[in-house]
Amino acid sequence: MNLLSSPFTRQSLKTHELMRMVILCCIPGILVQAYFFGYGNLIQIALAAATCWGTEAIIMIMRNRPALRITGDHSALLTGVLLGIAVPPFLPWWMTVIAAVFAIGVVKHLYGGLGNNLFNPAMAGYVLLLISFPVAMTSWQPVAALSQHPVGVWDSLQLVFTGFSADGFSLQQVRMTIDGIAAATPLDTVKTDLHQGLTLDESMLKPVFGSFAGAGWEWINLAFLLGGLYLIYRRVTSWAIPGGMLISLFVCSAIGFAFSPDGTASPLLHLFSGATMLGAFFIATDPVSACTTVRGRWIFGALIGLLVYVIRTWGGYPDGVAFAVLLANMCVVLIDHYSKPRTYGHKEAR
Amino acid sequence: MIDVKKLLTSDQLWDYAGGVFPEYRKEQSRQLPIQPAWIPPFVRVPIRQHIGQSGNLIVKVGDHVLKGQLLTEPTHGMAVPVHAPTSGIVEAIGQTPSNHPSGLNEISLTIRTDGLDTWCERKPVADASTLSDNDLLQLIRYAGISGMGGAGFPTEIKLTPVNPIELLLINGAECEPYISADDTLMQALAEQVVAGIELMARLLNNPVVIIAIEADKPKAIAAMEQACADWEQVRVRTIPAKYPSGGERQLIQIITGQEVPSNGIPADLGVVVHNVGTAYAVARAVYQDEPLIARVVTITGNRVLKPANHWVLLGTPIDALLHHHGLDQLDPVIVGGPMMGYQLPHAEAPVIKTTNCLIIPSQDELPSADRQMPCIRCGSCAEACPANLLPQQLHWYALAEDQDKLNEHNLFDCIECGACAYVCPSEIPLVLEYRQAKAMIRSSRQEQLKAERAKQRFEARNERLEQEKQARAEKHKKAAEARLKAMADKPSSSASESSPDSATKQSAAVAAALARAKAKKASQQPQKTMIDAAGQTVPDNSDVAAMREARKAEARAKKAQKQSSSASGNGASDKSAAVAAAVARAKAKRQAQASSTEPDAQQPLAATASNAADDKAARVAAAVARAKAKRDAAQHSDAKPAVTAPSEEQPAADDKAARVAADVARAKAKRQAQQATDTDQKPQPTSAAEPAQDKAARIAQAVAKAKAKRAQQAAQDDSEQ
Repeated sequence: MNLLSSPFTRQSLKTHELMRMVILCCIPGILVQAYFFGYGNLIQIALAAATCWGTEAIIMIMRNRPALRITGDHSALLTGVLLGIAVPPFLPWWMTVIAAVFAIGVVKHLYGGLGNNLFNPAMAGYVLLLISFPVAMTSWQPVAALSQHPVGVWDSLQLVFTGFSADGFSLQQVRMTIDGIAAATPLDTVKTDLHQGLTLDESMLKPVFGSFAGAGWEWINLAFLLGGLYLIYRRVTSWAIPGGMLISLFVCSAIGFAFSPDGTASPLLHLFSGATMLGAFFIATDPVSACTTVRGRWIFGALIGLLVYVIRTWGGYPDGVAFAVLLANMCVVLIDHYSKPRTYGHKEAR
Repeated sequence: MIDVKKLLTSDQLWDYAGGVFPEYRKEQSRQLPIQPAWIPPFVRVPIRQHIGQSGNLIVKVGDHVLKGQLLTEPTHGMAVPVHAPTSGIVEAIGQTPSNHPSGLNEISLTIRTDGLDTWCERKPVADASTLSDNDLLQLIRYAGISGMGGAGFPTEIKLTPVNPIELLLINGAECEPYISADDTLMQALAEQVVAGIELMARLLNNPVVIIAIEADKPKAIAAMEQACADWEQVRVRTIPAKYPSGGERQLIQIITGQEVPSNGIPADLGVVVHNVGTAYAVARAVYQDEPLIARVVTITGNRVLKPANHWVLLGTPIDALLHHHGLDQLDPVIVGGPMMGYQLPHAEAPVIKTTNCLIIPSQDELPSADRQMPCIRCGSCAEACPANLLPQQLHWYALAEDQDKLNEHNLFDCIECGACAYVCPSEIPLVLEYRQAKAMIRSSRQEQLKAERAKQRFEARNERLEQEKQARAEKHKKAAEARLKAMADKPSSSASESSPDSATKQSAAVAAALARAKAKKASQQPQKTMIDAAGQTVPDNSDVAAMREARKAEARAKKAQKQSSSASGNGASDKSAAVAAAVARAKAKRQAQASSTEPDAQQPLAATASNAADDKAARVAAAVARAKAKRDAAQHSDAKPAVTAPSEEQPAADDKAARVAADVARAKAKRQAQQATDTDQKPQPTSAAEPAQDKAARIAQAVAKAKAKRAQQAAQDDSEQ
């Protein structure tokens, strides 16, 4: 027994257990996503996670570190899972591999490994793809119920690895909805329609929308919300970042909606579309690249919420969580510096 | 300031930032009764068991001591005495392992107990009101009481604060897991604890008294409430069980809502905090006249068969104590609680005044942190920190040894409670890092202080040297002026008159010194005149130069005066000195007057030379004369000093000097050859080499070397031209 220094007792949750808990809390969201979008995402998650894990192991071996012990912290796995969730289900396999290798090799380990990366590895990998392959990265197929060509496991594998389903349909064909139009995500649809002069209500009548937000997407977001709430309940993460982000996004969209109810997306649509909940509870909460003070985390979250709204409303991309997270990562040091808590026995600083 | 009256009525409690909720694990040990003390075969009483200095030993080896007998006398304010915990014989006084995380040795008394437990004479006080405050304080001091909850600060000092105290806060929180010593003490002996509190309150001019106890000790709360039911100024407050509520600063915040200033002490707020154990010790000291010789110690942990609280004599070796309780394998033993305690480095260390708990955990009870991971900045530590610090940032800066940032993040406000490390999912030993960082900063502050002092010393020295230099320069200037004046006043023939005088009447030593000085001055002259001769235009600053030379010469003469004392008895050197003096003076005069030669300056020189009895001197003089004659013939006055300069090197004894002289001569000859196409003087200087006194020789050697160098330079200059 080697008891170096007090304290000699510690709470039970360790870093690798935290990471594992986060992964487990993704499962409801992943399952709902698989239900609506088929097996593609499961393939992507497996692919990305395996690549991330493998990349980390190789780098650890290169750096002469205990590879099994370090990869055992599950942080690379988590990066892979989040990346796999975020990319479109039938993205060509090599793109996912590129993103995963970039995320772990460059964004994480070139900066010194766990605890030292400035940027969220999963989102950096995602953005790399988004910038390099914008069409592929925004090519989500319609939810299964709307799809003209429903795809099974084998079809999905074929699509990911060859670009064509077992029946010989290309990705573009698979993406056709029953009415013969290539599907766009709800956020994309709203953006295009509003741009074309349609009102929100008119746009919302389209089949890509469900009962209160995007068809399928609303349930996926709810599932991630559920997982996130459990994380907070288990004190794996705190309210600050998700709270800050969701409140900020709600406030921004509510203000916009109050001024122009027809011309902007509703707060509900913002909160339950795209990667909002995934981003709020699983991505922005990556502690390494987020702010570290409690006040700073609220600010950090709020900044992401604001940026998401700005990018969705005026930006060139339909969703903006990944960009918002990376931009906020850049502000972390500054926010941390100005959000130091007042130490016991000290006067309020400046 | 704090509204203390309101504290007696209001139910408000405040909360401090952070805090953690570790498993308390107190149930196994908190049952009554407190087990009676066991008398070990020997006790080891360290003479210092608190924060401050030790007293002076007043017993010696072989003395028989009685229970309660004073072993050390407190000599200064921060000293607290120690007492014999039982009767026995002082077997040894020496260095033994201390009950401290460092495990360093410390001075302790080893007392072989006799098992009789015989008390020394006691004078219990039945009614404390008969004692004056001062008597009471002395009694507390001589009872060896220091804080029993934490660091062990002398109690008497905390009872005589500088500021008026409005609130006496009695700390019965006992927030550390495992420990139940205060809990059982309050349960069993509430009356005496309250009696002690009353004495403390009296010494502090009856402030409001709040007794704070954590909510997980209902029996202790009930007992204390009952014990102080008929006392109006006191109130027992139940505070939520949270770690570290028992920290002094945290407790003050919970009860009053105020924060103790960072660099201040609780007394700045009009608050003083004492532990319940200390209060009990005070009552015991006054009413039983029993000094602090035993305390309640919780012995617990999964390896202990019957965890319980025990009275333990201070000085009982921990290994013996645990053996007595049926424990053989003693690694590890944790002293104090699991949050702030330390692993005992040596099991033979004794129980001391601050030892409140001994934990002997099983293998899996307090698992060691063996899987440290990188910090992921999760911020759990910041949420747990009761001082509202940012432990994750401190960790970062501690690793980088960035002292500025550590100070900026208020490292020194860390109370080392361990809450951050407790919650750290990466199992980083944060408290250890902070302790090391603090030590690093402290030592570098010491270094800075030392460097600052050294700098001040150095600057003071420089200033002093500068002042001395200026004073010297001033003196020299005056002397030179006086000298110049004297020279101007005297007629030019005075040199010829004074030279025989000095040879016969004046002290030879003084003459020699003066001569050497002047000779030097004279020898320096040729350089300039040579240049003149070579056709270079040199401003006519010979007067100024003479002044400067005179000043230098004076200094050198003084020095030489001291050195030449050994040569004074030598007749031969006296004579030669006299000759040289004459030569030099003559030259000085000549040069001081003008760069052009005056014939009358050479006449006395020749005369002096002929007067000299010694062969060598005669030869030199002859040579000089010859040289001058030649030079006169050649119309070059400048060449002469170059020859006389080597003639000063007569004492040069060894070959080296001779060689140097030869070199000099050669160089000069070259010059002269260029100037006057005359080489007659060359052999003369070599003949000047003669054995002489060692000292004189060495001085001369140095002079010769210097001159040789100069001459060589001059020669080079010339040859270049």
